[in-house]
Amino acid sequence: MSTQPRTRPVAAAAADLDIQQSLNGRRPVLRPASSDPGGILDNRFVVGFLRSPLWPGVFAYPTLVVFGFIVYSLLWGPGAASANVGSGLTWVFWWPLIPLAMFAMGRLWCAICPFGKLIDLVQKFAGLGRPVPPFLKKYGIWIIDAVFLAITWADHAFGIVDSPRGSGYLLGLLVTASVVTAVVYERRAWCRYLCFLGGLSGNYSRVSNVQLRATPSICASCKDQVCYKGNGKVAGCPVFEVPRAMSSMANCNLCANCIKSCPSGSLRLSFRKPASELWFVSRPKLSESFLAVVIVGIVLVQTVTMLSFWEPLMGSLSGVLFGSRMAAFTVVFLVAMALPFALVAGASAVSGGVRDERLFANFARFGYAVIPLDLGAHMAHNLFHLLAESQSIFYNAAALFGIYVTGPTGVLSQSTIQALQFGLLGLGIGGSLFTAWKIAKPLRGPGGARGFAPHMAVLVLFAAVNIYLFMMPMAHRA
Amino acid sequence: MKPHLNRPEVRPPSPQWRVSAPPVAARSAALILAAALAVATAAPVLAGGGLPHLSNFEAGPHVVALYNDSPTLVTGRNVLTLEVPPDADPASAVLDLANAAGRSIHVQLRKVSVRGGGESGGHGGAGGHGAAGEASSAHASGHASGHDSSGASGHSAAGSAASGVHQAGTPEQAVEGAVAPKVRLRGAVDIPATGTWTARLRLADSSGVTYTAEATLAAVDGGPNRLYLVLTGSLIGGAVLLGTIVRRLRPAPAVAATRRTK
Repeated sequence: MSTQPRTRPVAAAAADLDIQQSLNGRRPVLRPASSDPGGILDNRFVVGFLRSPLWPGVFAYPTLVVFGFIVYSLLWGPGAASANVGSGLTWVFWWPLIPLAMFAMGRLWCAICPFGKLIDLVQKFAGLGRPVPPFLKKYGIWIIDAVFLAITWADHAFGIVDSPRGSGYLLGLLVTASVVTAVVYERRAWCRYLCFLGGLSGNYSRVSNVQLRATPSICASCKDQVCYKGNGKVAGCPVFEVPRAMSSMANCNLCANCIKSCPSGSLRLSFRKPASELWFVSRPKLSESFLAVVIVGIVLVQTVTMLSFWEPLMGSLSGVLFGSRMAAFTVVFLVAMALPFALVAGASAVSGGVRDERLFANFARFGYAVIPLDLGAHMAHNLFHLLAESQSIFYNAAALFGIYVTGPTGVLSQSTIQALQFGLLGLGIGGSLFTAWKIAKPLRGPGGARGFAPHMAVLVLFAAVNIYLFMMPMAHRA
Repeated sequence: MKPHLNRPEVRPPSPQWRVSAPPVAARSAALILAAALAVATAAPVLAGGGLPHLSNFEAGPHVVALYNDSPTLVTGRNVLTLEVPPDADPASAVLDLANAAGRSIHVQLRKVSVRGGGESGGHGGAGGHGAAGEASSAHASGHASGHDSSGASGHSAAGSAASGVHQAGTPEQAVEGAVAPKVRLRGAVDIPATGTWTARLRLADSSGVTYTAEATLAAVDGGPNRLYLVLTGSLIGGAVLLGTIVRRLRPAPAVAATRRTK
């Protein structure tokens, strides 16, 4: 396999341009023909659909309607999570599917997310379109990190997931924040700089199987940049990405605005090796690596709270901490967040010494290696909720219509679920180790993977802890 | 702190260009995963009530548990569930609610059907779990427990025994216990007002003797906190209103361009 970027002369690329009629037969579609063997856009149905006005609205509007129903159900429906269809749809169906979707299709969810559609609608009538302040651009990801940690803590401290009202309040707050942001700032500033799920998606999407890229030879002669600015009919990139310079899937939500607006058909959507983006992050950011590392702790906390020793542990700790369960959980939470950070920082100190790098530079670079493990463990954890509990949604939905039915809540046997969990976890562990090795290894020439060993040791430790926890029986959520 | 990003080697700016063909291994893995997800089998993971326990009726020798879909009786819609012991006649059960103001509401009860076989008994063959009762303790302890879907092979049994999340033993344990399944009856009722409500249950046993029992229930306001609604509603409404007004006051792009020219 060539190590050089695939580029072709402009003339050759132009000669390959294949002018087709789009599905609606009105608009000529330009796309590079045969330039990308794995190009998803080579399929005329896919390219026709993505270029049509149907995408993403055909999914986004129904999602917005379902979201409205969920919020209603959470706030005004049954007060028990086990009987609330909104709780089930949110935490047993949607939340477990999110990491799976991110792995398979990057941030595709963001294209049909109800918050995004709500932002679009609000901006149509009340958007002031002010530029995003530099502060937000610089520190937005840290805000996301902090909010993500705060929500995880609050979930257990106040029982957000376990309480339909709590879940409804959280969604209501997010709606409020996104609407206010939509009114003040241009495009989807909320999604890019403030949405905690967006931050998580950004990290996970780097592992995804698909990538959207522009064709440099075509873009070289482009002066309009309508892909970023938009034209009269199609808006510019909602997440402030310049497709011609895009080398990561962390922010692209596959809304296809650039595919629609590019007059030269420069954009290509193709498959790639999962996690390959992590091997060559050109500008590693400490904030993104930090999020990746603390997610290890978050998944650990989420898993530990479902295990049999959790309640005795809480009881003992609460006894020491003046009977306060919240204080006891806070201590466990802080330890769970700090431990992975300290371990990776320790590994970075050793690895940085070998590679002649500063600690935080090494942390920022190798922190990305944890993302596949994060994703694998997250998917494995949530797979239990999805496969062992999801039929409860049907029972609760039927109860809304006066049909009272109960039965098995799982769709697969426990042993099958556990096998799938270990499969996902194994993929994550393998992906992380391989990523760390690729990061450490020089791209060209001789030489081993310098500074790999300390990070490998930490990753193996994380893997062992996860395997141990997943071997233990878990309790159901809903 | 900004990380020091010097690397010993120079990397190409967009190395992703190197990889564009769909990796066979990844596709195969995705296919296997999708196939596994698509196989929906009747798993031995059983659902029970998983509902908050409100009270018990002591109708003669029979103890009938009353559950709700909210932790308390609330104004608005409630779906009440009765768990009738096997030696009573579930078809004879009549449930009414009355308050001090003389308002009386009849609850239309229906048998809960169980998917995957079994009578309307709560546990679909894994009888004797008392799952719903455990559910209430789970809620009381701040754990939503969820649908007390009990894990097969003791999965949730071990997990929830200590955590208060309801659980059940293995199907094998259930068979060993050989406890006949209780029958569940469920009905929706709209509670119009907060305050104390008295639930009256009439139940006959298999010999035809009818028993009556009462339980006192406190109804509270259902729905979200009003202060929360007012605050979020004001923020959303205020922001949208402000945006709309400012946009109206702002000169149109053509006018603004003219002003700049002058």
